Amino acid sequence: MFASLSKKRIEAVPILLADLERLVARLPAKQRAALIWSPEAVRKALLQLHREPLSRMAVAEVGLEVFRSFHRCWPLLMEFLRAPEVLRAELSAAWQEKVLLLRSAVVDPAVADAAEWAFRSLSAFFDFFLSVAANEVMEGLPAFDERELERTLTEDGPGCIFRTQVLLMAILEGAAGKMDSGRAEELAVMAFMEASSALNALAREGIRLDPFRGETSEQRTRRILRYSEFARGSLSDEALEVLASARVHGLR
Amino acid sequence: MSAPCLLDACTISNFLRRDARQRFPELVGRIENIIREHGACVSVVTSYELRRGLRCLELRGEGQKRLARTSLFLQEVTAFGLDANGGKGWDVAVEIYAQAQARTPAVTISEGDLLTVATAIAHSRVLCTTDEKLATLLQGIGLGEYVDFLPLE
Repeated sequence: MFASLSKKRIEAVPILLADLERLVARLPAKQRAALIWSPEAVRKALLQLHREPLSRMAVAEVGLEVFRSFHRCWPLLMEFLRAPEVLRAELSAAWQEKVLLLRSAVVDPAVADAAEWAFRSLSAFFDFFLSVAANEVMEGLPAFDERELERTLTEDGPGCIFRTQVLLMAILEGAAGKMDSGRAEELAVMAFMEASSALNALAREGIRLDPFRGETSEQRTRRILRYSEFARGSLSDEALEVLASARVHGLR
Repeated sequence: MSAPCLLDACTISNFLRRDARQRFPELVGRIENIIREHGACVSVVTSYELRRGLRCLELRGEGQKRLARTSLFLQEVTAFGLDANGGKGWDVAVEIYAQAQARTPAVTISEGDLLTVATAIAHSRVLCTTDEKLATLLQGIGLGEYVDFLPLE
């Protein structure tokens, strides 16, 4: 789920199926054979989101398969987390590639921005998670509780960030293939909605994550003005009336 | 350079109208300048108004893609609260309400507008509004320096 850890600075990127496969491929044959996981099962689960009706429940079901497999790879992930310098450059490049791939999967530029926003939010979350929980993460394999995971995947709060990961994985899994761009947009919009719910939930706990940490004020302004153009084209006069009628007049 | 300000809900709504660039080019230009200089800032009350409006649209079946486009912008809007500095915003609201009620005849401000302007004052900001009635009303009770009326025409 995350990678690249150093004593001075922690950087995290969401790990996708292809990343795990690449890491596994680098293991000596004996270690590789001992790892019980099935990338095909994960891929098959993700592909369900390319064709079946989308719902939080459907994403949660796929997430169960995804995180079950990730859990089996936990010792492997820890090994790479202990030697981050080996992968730092590669993961940094991979991060950019993933953003570009994600954006290329959708046609609508607003949805491409929404997908990138979700991806950066997920990255910011893992960054934060490792910064506060690095020691616990490195200590060892947490017990896998399928029922607990199932509950988490269907609820608000932390569940939103897990579903964001699953949805982004599904888009990226299909981006290089023949996934319909309409479905990719549906997945991206859902990923954005889940990611914004996750960040809002964290903000309520006093944890404010910035998906665009490090951007200059000029870049930020350009981005916000671009978002305002997208918003301007999206609401009908009737929708604006609904917004107007939601104004607060009295508190009684 | 303009003074730091908060945008109220009607200003945001007008700014986001599909035909805003054609109908209100000056308003759009002013708000874009405000965003360039100070970012897009609102009161928590405005944030609440916009969020509940979007939720109503969602329940009415408005397309998720349309909602995401608007939410993407609103996600980048900074909301200022009433609770900062020991609840200074609430204290300001109390004072505005009482002063308005003490006038003859008493002046009534809607709760939403009262709390929004109180948030602006508590954060040393001006409230930017396209609501001429509200601007006149606030000027009438001596709060003219805290309101910047943005005409639509």
